[in-house]
Amino acid sequence: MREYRRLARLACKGQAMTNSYTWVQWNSHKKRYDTVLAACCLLYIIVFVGMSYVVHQGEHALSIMVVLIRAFSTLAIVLLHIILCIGPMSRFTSLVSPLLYNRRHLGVTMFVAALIHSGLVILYYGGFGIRAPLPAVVDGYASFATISGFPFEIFGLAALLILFTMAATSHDFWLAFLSARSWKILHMMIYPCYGLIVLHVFFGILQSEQHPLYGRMMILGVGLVTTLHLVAGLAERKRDAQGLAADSNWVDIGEVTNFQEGCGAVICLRDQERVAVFRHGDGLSALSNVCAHQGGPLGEGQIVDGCVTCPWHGYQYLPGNGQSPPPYHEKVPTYELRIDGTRVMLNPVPNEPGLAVKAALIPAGNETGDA
Amino acid sequence: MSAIGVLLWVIAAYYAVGVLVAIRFVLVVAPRADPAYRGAPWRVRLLFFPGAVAVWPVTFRIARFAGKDGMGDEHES
Amino acid sequence: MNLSSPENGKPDFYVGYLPTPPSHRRFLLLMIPALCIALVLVAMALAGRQRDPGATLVQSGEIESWSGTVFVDPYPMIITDDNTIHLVMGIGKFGVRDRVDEFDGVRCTVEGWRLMRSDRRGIQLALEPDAIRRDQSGKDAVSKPDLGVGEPVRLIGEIVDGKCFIGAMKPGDGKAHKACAILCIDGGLPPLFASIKPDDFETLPLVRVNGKAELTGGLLRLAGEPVVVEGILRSVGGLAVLDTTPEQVRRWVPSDDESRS
Repeated sequence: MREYRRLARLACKGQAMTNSYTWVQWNSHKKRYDTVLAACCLLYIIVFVGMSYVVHQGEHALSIMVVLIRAFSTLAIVLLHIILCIGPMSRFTSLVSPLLYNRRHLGVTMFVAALIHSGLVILYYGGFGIRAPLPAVVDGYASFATISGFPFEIFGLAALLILFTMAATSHDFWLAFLSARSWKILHMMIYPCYGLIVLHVFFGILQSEQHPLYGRMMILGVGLVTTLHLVAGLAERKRDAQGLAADSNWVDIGEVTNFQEGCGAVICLRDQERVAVFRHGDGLSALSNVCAHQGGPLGEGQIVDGCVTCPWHGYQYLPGNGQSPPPYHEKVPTYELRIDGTRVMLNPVPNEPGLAVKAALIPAGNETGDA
Repeated sequence: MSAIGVLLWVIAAYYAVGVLVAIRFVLVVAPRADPAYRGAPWRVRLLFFPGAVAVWPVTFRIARFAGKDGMGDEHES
Repeated sequence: MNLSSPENGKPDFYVGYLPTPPSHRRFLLLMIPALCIALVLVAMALAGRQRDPGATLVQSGEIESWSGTVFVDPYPMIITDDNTIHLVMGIGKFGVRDRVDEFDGVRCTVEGWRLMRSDRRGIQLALEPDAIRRDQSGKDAVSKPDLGVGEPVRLIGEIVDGKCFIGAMKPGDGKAHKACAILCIDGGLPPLFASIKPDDFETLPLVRVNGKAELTGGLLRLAGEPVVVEGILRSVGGLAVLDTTPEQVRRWVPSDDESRS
């Protein structure tokens, strides 16, 4: 029980995993993250507004509402690109883990920027007239056959509704209620949302702001996001394709000495879920590689305070049974391991989540665990 | 009415029903479904309201399912 | 960057609720200033390339007053003593025809706020009921200017709403402003024609379709986007009117013989 003390202390401070719900599960890192994020957003808006009045002054000055509409829309798009790049980048380096850890706050901030943009547009362009503001903006005209007449605002509205759904269900309560799998599917809507935003930009502002920089930056952004996802996706696919064949009862997953003390290893089985194998003391344990929280790769984590710890959000599981230590309830499937001589053998059939499995004991003389 | 006009009414109707379902969800369904929810203060419960409005068909389905087969075991683990 | 921790040979491992490992700390100390610089550069680049909305004058604050003769057609206007024509527009996205109807051809005093773009002048009529009233100075009303026979023209440009384009919104044209232009014109504000040729911006003729300075139906939907208009351009003393019909206005397409820019 000694190793649980730290977790219990963190739980009391509402800092780790789900026990009871709070408004935001703050900790010092999240506070620093949010402070930097708010400062960056403020900096962006100030520079955008300031620059707008440097380039067009006096009688040529742009309306402040137009400047703010543009400042918040471009901020939202910049944040969205950062959000979309963090995921694939984390496949290449763990250095971006601090960005990944609190990515949801980045997402909610992006939604707020998009909401301010939309609110100002509806008020400024749709307000003070003979029609209700929202229909005036999105249903003012419809000429679906032409680029110049296409009602681009409808793409923006659809994207905003998706962002709202994601922001409103970003709390851990929704993860628990909807189940991690459904929650993940819901939040994959960010990709169609991104497509809608690109269309919104293409059919909208790119039709009236003719400086080539805008089109080029949008292409650069789309290219960056697409390339990162393709490269990361192909790398993962290749890893899966090179996975071990799991057509027998027990699969040889390598030498005992391949497993480093306290570190995880990801075992890819062809056509099956990945398995995370951890060496702790003189034993080896295997869990599903998929964290019950948001599907993080447990095998890329480490053992911290006696628990397998997910690299994404620090969710923890006991290596022997795949259960989060009390007072938490998360569980992941376990796998059986055995050691034949110096080889580690894995039974590829997963156990029920949380089922205790005896650790495979490492024979004397194989303690060295170089990665 | 234009196609977009009809679409706007559909969206409005979706969220109007969502508000009604969400009120029941926040007051009745969620406390039964999730033990951790019961201890949450009111301002936190209020935070879940927009989400319940947004995904009301899912919460509605889960609530109906749980109403027949016993509430919340799925998430109490 | 070396991710290995010297103490136990394990790679540095970041957990949000534990102290930040050295390699991640170093990365963040580099990444955060780099991100700030990148954000500043992006903001400067995006804000710095916005197109010039044109020179306009928008008065706010103190209410100003003008005296002259009011005419309702083709669009409510006042011709002041210095023979300048001001289009009279309402607060928000509303026209003022119902407020000026009874003063057609009558010498009046009008109170409001000034709008101006090039030679096209406008007055945003104040909300007070007596913001337009009969002038008590005893001067005679002038007669309505004769627009003459005009000349046939074929123009490429955009039908804009007179209030936003001459200063109420900057920019008050283009795709982003299209919905607003439609709302404004639908609400009774004057449709003006902004040609893509800079010289033609000086005139900003009022668009009159079948004798009325208003757009309806499919024509209204063409406001705020590039169009080709054929018609008769008439002008006199600072007032220009482009007379056309719905059949003579069509959406501009790249295959049109004249380039947009």
